[in-house]
Amino acid sequence: MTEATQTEAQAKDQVKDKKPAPKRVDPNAGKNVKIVKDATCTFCGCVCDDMELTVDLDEHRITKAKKACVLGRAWFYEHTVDTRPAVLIDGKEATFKEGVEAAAKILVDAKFPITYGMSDSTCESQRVTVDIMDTINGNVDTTTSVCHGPSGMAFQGVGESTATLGEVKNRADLVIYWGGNPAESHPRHFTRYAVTPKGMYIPNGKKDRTVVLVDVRRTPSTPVADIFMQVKPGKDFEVLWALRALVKGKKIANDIEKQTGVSREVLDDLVERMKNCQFGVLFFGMGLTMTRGRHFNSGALLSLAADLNEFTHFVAKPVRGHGNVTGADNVVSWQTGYPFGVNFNRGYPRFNPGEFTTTDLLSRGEADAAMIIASDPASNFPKAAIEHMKKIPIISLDTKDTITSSIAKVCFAVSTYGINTGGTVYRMDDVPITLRPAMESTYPGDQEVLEAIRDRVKKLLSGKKARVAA
Amino acid sequence: MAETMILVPGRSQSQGTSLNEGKLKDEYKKVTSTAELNERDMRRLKLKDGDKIKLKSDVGQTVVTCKSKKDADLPTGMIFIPYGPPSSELMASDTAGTGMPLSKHMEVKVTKVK
Amino acid sequence: MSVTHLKLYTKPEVPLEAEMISPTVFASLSQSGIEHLNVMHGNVKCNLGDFFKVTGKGAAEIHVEGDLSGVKLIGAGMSEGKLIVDGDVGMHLGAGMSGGEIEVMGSAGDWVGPEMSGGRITIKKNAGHMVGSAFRGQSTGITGGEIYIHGNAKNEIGSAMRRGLIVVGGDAGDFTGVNMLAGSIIVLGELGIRTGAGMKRGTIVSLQDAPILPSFEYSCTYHPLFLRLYFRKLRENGFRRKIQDKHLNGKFKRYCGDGIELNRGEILLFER
Repeated sequence: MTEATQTEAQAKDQVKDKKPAPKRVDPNAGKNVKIVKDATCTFCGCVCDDMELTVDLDEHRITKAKKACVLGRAWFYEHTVDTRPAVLIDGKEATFKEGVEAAAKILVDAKFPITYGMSDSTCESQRVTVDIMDTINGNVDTTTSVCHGPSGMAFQGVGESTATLGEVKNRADLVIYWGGNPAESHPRHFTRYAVTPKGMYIPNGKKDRTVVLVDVRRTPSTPVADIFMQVKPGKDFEVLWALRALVKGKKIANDIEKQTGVSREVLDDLVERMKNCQFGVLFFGMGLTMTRGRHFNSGALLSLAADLNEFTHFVAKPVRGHGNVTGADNVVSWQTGYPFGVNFNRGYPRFNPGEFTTTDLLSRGEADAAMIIASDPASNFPKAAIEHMKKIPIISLDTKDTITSSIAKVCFAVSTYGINTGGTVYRMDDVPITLRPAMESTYPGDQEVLEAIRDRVKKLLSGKKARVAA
Repeated sequence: MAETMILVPGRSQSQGTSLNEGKLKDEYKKVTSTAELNERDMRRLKLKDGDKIKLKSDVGQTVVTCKSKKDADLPTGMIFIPYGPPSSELMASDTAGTGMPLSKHMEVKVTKVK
Repeated sequence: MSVTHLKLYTKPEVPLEAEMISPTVFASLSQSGIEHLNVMHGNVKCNLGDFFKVTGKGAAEIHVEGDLSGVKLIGAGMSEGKLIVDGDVGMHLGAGMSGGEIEVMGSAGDWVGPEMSGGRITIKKNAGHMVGSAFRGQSTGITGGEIYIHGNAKNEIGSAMRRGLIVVGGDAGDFTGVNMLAGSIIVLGELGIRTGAGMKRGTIVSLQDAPILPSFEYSCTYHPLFLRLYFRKLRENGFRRKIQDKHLNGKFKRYCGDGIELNRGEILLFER
């Protein structure tokens, strides 16, 4: 961990300041301050690991986050000392031990326990969560299922031609964003990884790249693009399908502009650019996965990237949302064989989105207990699902009060990963990054809580017979 | 008079920053209940910035504040709203065997709230 | 004839997985043997008798009664006999069946007859998504058999099917016949969008007009003789109201595709 105390920082400054320099006023003078270098921001899937945090140890908060974007600054500045109780059972304060006991009992007694969330949690915690569900024959699902879950299904169907963001930075001369608005959702995606940075084979940065943006509306991301292709809402699949046909030299319908809002000339131009670039990349967002067509939209885009490899090097990458949602996919995959929507009812993992995904299990009223980790389905799920959540016992682990935590039977306040606790997080391109926490929290990390629940669950179960032989 | 339009919920910067303050705080509630409409649609529906509109889908309804957007930024017939509890209220639970409810491009009926 | 009756008397609290409700399994069992078959109630192993009252004996025919919308996998893997459900059923009805017949008086959940290779399934009301489809991650769906849905069915009917016949009396959802390798799908009502995306061979028929993907090409308007045979047979099988004389003798627009794939599939839309 790279950190320096205030006095060390001052000493360094003094060495530098030997040369005549304008007198600087140190805003941190007289304060108990710690600097954390190369810290990691875990707010969005970019997982930028070049932060320089200034921590005010007296006030127990981060006062400056150098290099952070507007979302990152909000992430770091807003995580201050909280006063809410660490454990609540039925809204009443309880001890840690009582909380763990109550949670373990709910899980062991349930016939169809589910867990959901995990995207704002470290890989270490995710691993413990899968262990708990494996032990009690429950159901594992993550926020992936309402984010890039359809893309996960498409990977399984058509495969993925992939690269890291480092390769994109160093090589990509054609960058296409489809159905996403990174300027507002992933502000540093352009500046740190894919558009403006200079790379090994891209010596002039943005000048050497062509940036294409495809969306149904103009967004703050649009000005970055050299070409903006506006598609009629809900016609992404048709446009992708037409592009695939053109890339393969096949005919397409004459009324393509009437159907999709994109003219034949624009499509032909894009096809030529895609076939003739050195290294092309397709980044895609929720505009594809959340609209009619879902996994087929992602699949069409992934297939287009695969088709283009006949002419040049082309890759496709989903732009992932929350900090460690990519880690959740990875951890659940290497523990169960599938990325999300995994059921252990029969003692072995089964994967079936639509059957074992949380939205469905809750909307159909099938789950009879739920452990929600660092997410808020009670505010962003469909109404039928929220109604069912109010009927079943919920265990909630979250850093802040949410609607989910307010309806939870057992509620743990936990510390924040990346700010208070260390661990591993996957960037959206499946690159693992180690966290450098900035300061201690009065609350335990979710890993600590989950491990306690797991141990208690195993104790309780050892009293009973093995539940399933299947 | 009700008019059918396409609702596109998505992320916005203020949604992202207010989320960090806390989902139960006023700022987040305000951000997620402000919908953007094309200015021509607003004129036709006799709406001005700050007016309340009711959005109704097959599964639910919600009341939000409206804000105008220029023609170039948002096509007519489309409404943008940052993700949040109001947009979830309108979302159907059918996932078509994928686990993903249709969260964008929802058909909603728009009426002015007096 | 030997008939076993099952009547649901305990409503399952969480999904019940009951693939043993099948003539193939019941064939060699006594009444108490049937009652003691294991079912999965969520993650708890129970007996079939905990949920169903079993009467009669033999397995040439099984009658199941009650609201079975929370019961999955009924008739999965069956190879012979007849299974009649008086009510709604849950997911995965007749999954992977190879023979025999299932008749459901009510509606069915998602995944009716996935990856079946033979036999016949009839649903009198509506069905969910993924009728006669492949399971996620599989490249081949049904390889034989017949599925008749009298009401509506939703998305991905016959996805990746290789052989067999699927008939939907009402409307279909999106992506009917997506990635299909061969076989026939007949929709008497309206098709959703993106019909036949990625299809290699096979036939999709509709009595209504439908949106066609840009990678499909119009080839001709003609009267396909084989359709008259199919339609006559369907009229005898309870689809009389939907199929009129004009359909028997009418002309159909033929679109071939999917151009991105082999281009040997066809979509036939009734014209006049």
